[in-house]
Amino acid sequence: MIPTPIDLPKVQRWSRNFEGSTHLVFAGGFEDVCGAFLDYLPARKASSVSGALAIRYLPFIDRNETHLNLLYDKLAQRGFGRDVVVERVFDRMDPHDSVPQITEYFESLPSDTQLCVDISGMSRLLLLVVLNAAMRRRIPLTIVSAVAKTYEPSAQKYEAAAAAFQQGSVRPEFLCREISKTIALPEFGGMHDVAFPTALVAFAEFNYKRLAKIVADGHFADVVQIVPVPSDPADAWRVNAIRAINRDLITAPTRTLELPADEYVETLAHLEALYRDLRYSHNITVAALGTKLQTVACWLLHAAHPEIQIVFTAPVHFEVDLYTRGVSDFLSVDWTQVTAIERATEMLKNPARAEFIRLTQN
Amino acid sequence: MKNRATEFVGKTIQGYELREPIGAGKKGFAMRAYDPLSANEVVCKFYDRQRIDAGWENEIRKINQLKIPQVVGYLQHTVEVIDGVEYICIFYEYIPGQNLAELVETSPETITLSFVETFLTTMLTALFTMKRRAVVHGDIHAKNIMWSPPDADVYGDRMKFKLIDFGLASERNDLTPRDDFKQIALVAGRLMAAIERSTLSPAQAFFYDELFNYFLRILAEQDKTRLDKVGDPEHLLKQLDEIRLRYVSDHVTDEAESLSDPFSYLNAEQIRANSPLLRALYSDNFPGFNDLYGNNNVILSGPRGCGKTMIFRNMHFGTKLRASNVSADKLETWVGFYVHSQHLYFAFHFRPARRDSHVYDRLIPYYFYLVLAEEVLATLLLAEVRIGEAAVSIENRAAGLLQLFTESFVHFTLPPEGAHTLRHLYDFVMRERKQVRQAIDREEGPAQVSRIRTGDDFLIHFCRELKVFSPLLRSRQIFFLLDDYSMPMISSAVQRRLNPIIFYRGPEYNFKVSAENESVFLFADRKRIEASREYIELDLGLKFLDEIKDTATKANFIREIVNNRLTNTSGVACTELRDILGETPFSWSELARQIREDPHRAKYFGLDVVAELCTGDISVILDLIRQIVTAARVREGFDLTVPLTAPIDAETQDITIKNFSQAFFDNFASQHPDDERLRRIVGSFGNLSHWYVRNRTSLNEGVEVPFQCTRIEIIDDGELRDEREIYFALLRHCGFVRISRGRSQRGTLSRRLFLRRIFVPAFLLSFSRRDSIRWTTEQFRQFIVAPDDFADRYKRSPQPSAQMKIGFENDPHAD
Repeated sequence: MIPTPIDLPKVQRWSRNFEGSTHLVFAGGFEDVCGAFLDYLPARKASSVSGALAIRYLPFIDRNETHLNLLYDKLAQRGFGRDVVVERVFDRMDPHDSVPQITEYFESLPSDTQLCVDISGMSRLLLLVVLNAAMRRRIPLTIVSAVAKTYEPSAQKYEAAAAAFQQGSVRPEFLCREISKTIALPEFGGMHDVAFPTALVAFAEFNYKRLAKIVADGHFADVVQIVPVPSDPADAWRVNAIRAINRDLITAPTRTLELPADEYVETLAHLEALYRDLRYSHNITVAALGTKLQTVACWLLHAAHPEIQIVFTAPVHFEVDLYTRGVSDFLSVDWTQVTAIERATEMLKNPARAEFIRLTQN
Repeated sequence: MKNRATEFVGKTIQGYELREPIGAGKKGFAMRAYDPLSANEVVCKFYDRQRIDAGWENEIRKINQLKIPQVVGYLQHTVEVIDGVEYICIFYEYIPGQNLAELVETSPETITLSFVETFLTTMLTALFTMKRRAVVHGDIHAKNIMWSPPDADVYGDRMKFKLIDFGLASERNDLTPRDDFKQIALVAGRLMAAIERSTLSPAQAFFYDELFNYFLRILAEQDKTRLDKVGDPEHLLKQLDEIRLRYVSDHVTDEAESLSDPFSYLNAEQIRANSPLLRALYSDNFPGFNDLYGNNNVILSGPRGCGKTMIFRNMHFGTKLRASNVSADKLETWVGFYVHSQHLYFAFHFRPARRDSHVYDRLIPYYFYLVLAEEVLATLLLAEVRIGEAAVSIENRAAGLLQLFTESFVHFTLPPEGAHTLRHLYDFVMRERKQVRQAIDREEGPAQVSRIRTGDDFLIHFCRELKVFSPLLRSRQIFFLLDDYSMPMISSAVQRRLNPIIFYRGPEYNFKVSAENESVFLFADRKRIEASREYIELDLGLKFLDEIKDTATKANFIREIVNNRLTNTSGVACTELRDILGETPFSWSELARQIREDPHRAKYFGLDVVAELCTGDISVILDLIRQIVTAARVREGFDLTVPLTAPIDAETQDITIKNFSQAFFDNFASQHPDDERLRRIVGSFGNLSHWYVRNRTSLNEGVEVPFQCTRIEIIDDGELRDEREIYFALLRHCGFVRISRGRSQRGTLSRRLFLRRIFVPAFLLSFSRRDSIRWTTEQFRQFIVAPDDFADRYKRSPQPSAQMKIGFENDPHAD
């Protein structure tokens, strides 16, 4: 399986300025990274930014509310009052009714809008919904993703749980308790064939139940697990940990890929290669449970191949003290040239036909 | 030449009235003409004699050299003087329809992969004769190929392709002839551009890509230095066939697979859909299999992990077809087509209130038919490959099936002449289903109603016609295996609409429906569906508890399942569960006496204990055995890879079984929003039963034994009213298993509830089923409302129960 070279803007360190952006988009999660980019927002008078979309999560979590209010305060301090900040609600557990309202916001934006989208506080599902709505309107955008200082669980916590598992205890789970049913939005429902087996391309994470739930709700013939590789070598242990936690959830996972957590082009290249490998024998479902930037790659894959289904599970109860803390850096992706993004997905869509046309025109 | 066609309308030549212009080129024009005397319709082409090149007659000669169905037929030619101008008039057969350029513009939905395949086959067949007879067309393009739809008045008529206009070739010096092969490739490429690749099935996508990547390229190739067989129609036709064969050899494989751990992949969902392990790990000795294989509708239920999916996937014709030694004579007297309800879930998982219900009343069954038809047709296509086309389909018996599709589907078009019927039907059904699904996703359902012509009897007719068409199906009963048809995943609104189709009581088909306990909506429209009349209920939990009376039978079933796993695990030396767990050397009353004397002394171990823990929930028992083996490995170095000298130590088994039971109880019903209440109810009953073992005595043939009650008998036929929901949640999550003595007239409670067996060690109970706690419905209701309070009151009451003994003669542990 050879990754397909794809020409897309690379991930870069964010310049920490909002130049050219007219609207901001962010979500009110409870981690420090959520909306941290607002710290660099200049005063309204000195900024090209004229509006913002704030997304409030349902079901209600106290810490989310506190944090969102903090972000509103930051905006207010810079002169962005509630008159220019639009709020929409996103129900993580039952998002069907939330999607049209978010989509409608993007539809209502003026044609010269340029977005700065902070994906740091977005659930993977919300991230896909936002990208879908913005790109359908062909709105140029910059994606910003804050990097946390510390990630949970710590190596010590993991090792203690893993040792107990070795002794016959239950499989360790972290970050959240109870998992929702499998969520599939119509926008990412794909188009599977009744008579073909389905392969699951699953981004694995620290709570195996999120993936196990998808496996239990689905009917998969094959699983390819993708394990995110942190950019910080000190976190390298997490790769083997995630592999171990998610091992043997289904028979014969043909392969496990390790892909950089803070990358989307390379992830897309591998996803595309997987797609080409599986496309003739399987329906494909992607469990988009990877990092935020890996989820961006999932959106691109689906844009190129709408027959692919993307599914999620959502935590019912967060262990809010077991998530990331602090902000160490910001990454960004420049999608202000919408045609470049469209060209890249178009190239993936139907290469056989494009090549035939090229050859026969010669 | 000036196109004077419109001026010619109404004129008559050779008895033919010129009716309308139908095309024009640089050298001439064509008109549709009609002879009222013979009622014959023809095409008349006009060339100005003064301007036409020498050699114009080659057009006629070439067609007459060919005289094949793929080329338009020549009738006659004359020279006519019209308005002072001398014309050469050539009469051809009239082909009703459109040229392919028009078709692409006006009806792209007509173009499917089987359409393109038939187009290529037709054209290559024509090119075969043309090459043999040294005829070159020289100007093939989409406008020079006519497509003619089937004539609805002609039974079994098919669409046709015909090459027209052989008038431009090397004989006309101003134009260079174009290569016929390359031109066909370009037309095919243009047709394929009308197909949205993402709507194709994986197999079709392979064919589509191979056409572009390979076939159309060799078809278009003109350079003999790059390809051996340039312009060889016979070779090209073989290559077209080989693409399909290549698909089968590359992608329909049955790779060997073994387990690395005998206790991994405990649920069928964890075993990949096309794994040979599905068959290897399967036992068809599951209780109740006779009911399932019979010609009746069945609701197969049981606790999670009881193997419903495993059973259905093994009954699936597609699974059988993947076996290396499959042949038609080895098949059963039935053929099962497996469909997972997730196809319905993803299509209709919105809240029904948001939708227009009368629209969805029609869309839901329509979509369901398409899902079933897609599965049937795809599986029959696989069967053609695996056991031979002749055994599966007879093309000249397809007329009824095609007629049914024509009548049932607005957008269905009959296949082209020579097309493969099954593939054509499959292409259509798949595309139709996807279009409907996309419309549903876009909330455009109401606009789709106009395409629905199917009634509630479509499936009946479909199965009838399949039996005419397919020798394989003719003498076999058709089963639809609908997996996980459970509320709330498949809502009551969807079930209400589908149930009249599913619970149909006719000879054409049967449905075998798997569902969680109490999660099938037992109404079809407004009519109640009756057990024993419309369906047979097969509850695997119930079978284990009520119908298999003796422990030995249960143990043998568990042994077979586990031994299959041990045998299919590489490196395992011990393949006998009995050797691993050993015997259980005590009766259940002895166990009860130990519990009474000193609960800490009572030990749970041995094969019979493990077998008795099963309430049909096989995966739970497998997980328990896995944990026993793991604990034994840690505690005593137990190793399955070396021959055993003794079973796992009783102490290890006992600790693991009790811990497992307790952990299972702690997680019981965790998906239910009111899970704590459910646990409290089950826990209270478990504690009450334990109290009985410790404090009450039962008489057994004059011998006093501890009172062993894991069962509640409800002695009247009252109603639970507000507590119904929590009661059904208890059953759905299998806290208790209900043993039905027949539904009451009011469709309310049945009478006997068994505590799920896996909870027995957690509450230190025995497995004996001799005694019961007898309550009125009201008492049971009070227990559900406040379980601990009620249990406490009940213990203090002077006459705690009427007791009942049920004999299980074959149970060596009963005394």
